[in-house]
Amino acid sequence: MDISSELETGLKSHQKRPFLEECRDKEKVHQLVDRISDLPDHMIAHVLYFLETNEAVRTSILSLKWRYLWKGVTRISLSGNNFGSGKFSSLLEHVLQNCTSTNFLAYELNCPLAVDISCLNTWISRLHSHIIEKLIVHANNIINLTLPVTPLPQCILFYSTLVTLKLHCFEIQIPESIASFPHLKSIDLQVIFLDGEAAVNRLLSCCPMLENLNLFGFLDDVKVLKIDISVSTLRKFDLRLIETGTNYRKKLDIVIDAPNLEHFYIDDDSFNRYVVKNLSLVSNVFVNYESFGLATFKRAYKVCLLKLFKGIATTRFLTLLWSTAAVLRSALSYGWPTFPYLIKLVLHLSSISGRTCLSKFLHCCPNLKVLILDLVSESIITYFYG
Amino acid sequence: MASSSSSSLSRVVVKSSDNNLFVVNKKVASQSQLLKQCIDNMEEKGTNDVILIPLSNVTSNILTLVLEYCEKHADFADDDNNNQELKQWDHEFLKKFDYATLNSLTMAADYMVTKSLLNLCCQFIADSIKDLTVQQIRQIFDIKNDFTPQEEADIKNENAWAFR
Repeated sequence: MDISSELETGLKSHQKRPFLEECRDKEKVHQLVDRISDLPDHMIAHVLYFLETNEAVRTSILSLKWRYLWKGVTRISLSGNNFGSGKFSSLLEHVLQNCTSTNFLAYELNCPLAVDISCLNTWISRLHSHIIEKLIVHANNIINLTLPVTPLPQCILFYSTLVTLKLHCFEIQIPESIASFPHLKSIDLQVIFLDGEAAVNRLLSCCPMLENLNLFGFLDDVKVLKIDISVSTLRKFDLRLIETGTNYRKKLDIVIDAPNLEHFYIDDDSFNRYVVKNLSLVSNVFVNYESFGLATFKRAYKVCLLKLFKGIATTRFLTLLWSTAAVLRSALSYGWPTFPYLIKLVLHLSSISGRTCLSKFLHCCPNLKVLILDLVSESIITYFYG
Repeated sequence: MASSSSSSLSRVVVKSSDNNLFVVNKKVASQSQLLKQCIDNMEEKGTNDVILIPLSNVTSNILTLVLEYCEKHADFADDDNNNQELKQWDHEFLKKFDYATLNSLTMAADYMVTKSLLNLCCQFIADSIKDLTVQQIRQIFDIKNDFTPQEEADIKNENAWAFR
């Protein structure tokens, strides 16, 4: 039978038996596959991939078939929050010793408080011969904003197969020469910068494919004066700079040169200075530019914010938090850039942040289509300043 | 579905294991690496005939579901993988199936090399296991406990920490 006639009869026969009717015929479906255990081992392993390792180990009790399946997991994920800090290392040792997998892909450790740095280094280097694509290490919990003091384990720098790297609560201490990360697309760092200005630059210069960068920096005791984010492949950049103390310190110079950047998120609570270049593709920007509790602003801050705006003027979506609007209000007499492509603006305003800046801002957005004003935060602000 | 192009390769015909035929838009079919590979091979040969791709491991019921998924995902561009609307749709899509259907769907996704659907199914199964007791998992997935009491005690002892 040639294809076209087969197609015709086939389609006809299919029309006679509508799918939904068959689907209700549960009996028939059950004949095909009726239990999760009937999945082939490699697919059960895939299901186990998505479980925390302690959950995966628990499946060993289900039945004979399941007894050793967990040992083939390709992802180790342990959270210290679920155990006491003493238990964590023996659990991880147990897992590392028992897992027989030859192709670990992901390694995620959420260490309990006060984890020993030499242990951590050992654990991380244990999977060093595998093709790890995803490495996530939380060395600490920062819920109470105590400063992290764990230096970056050097062995991380040997995982050249990484695609995703997430390090929370490390000092950045990157050696002069490091291996490159030719596949690394996503970096998420929650760090303090102690290692001179070049640390971040060096890391970034080793990532020719980097698309996503999350940088959450603690600025207390910072020795760096300049952060240079010049990454031509970068598409998404989230920058949060936090100062936990109130000590006076010098402002950072932050240079951003990213011709392919689309999504740009800045949350800066200490008025650092920005130089943005080549952001011609940027289309979605969020800005929170403030100094907590500060009610008057130096000229330099206003100039810096307006310069930043000029750099992102091609954006189509823009969100400004009330603190940013407060700085804007005090800069009414300055020249503001025009946002020719801006179609959606989300503005958080209050009596303190100044509704006066709204009309001036609207003049800068000739093609605005959607304006969302958030006035809800007013009560919160009154509370802070009250 | 009106065809704007005269090229026969804008669509392919996929045959399920129970001999039903499905006409599939090329863009939709390309969500499956298996189908994409077939299409690419035929295009390389310069064939202008209708391609018939038999899938000996997938029934019409399940194939309809896989194609529904592919159709939805073909509507979104590659870099929209994090799209909230799509994620919501994915979740609603899987939610309506019983575990038997879900298993078949997982197998089909594996066979047809539709990686995002495979991940989605496995993640969904994992999520449903996560907060259950061992007894509940056995019950829901119809897993028979074939351990002797001694073996069961041994395993619990060996991995004691996991069973708290």
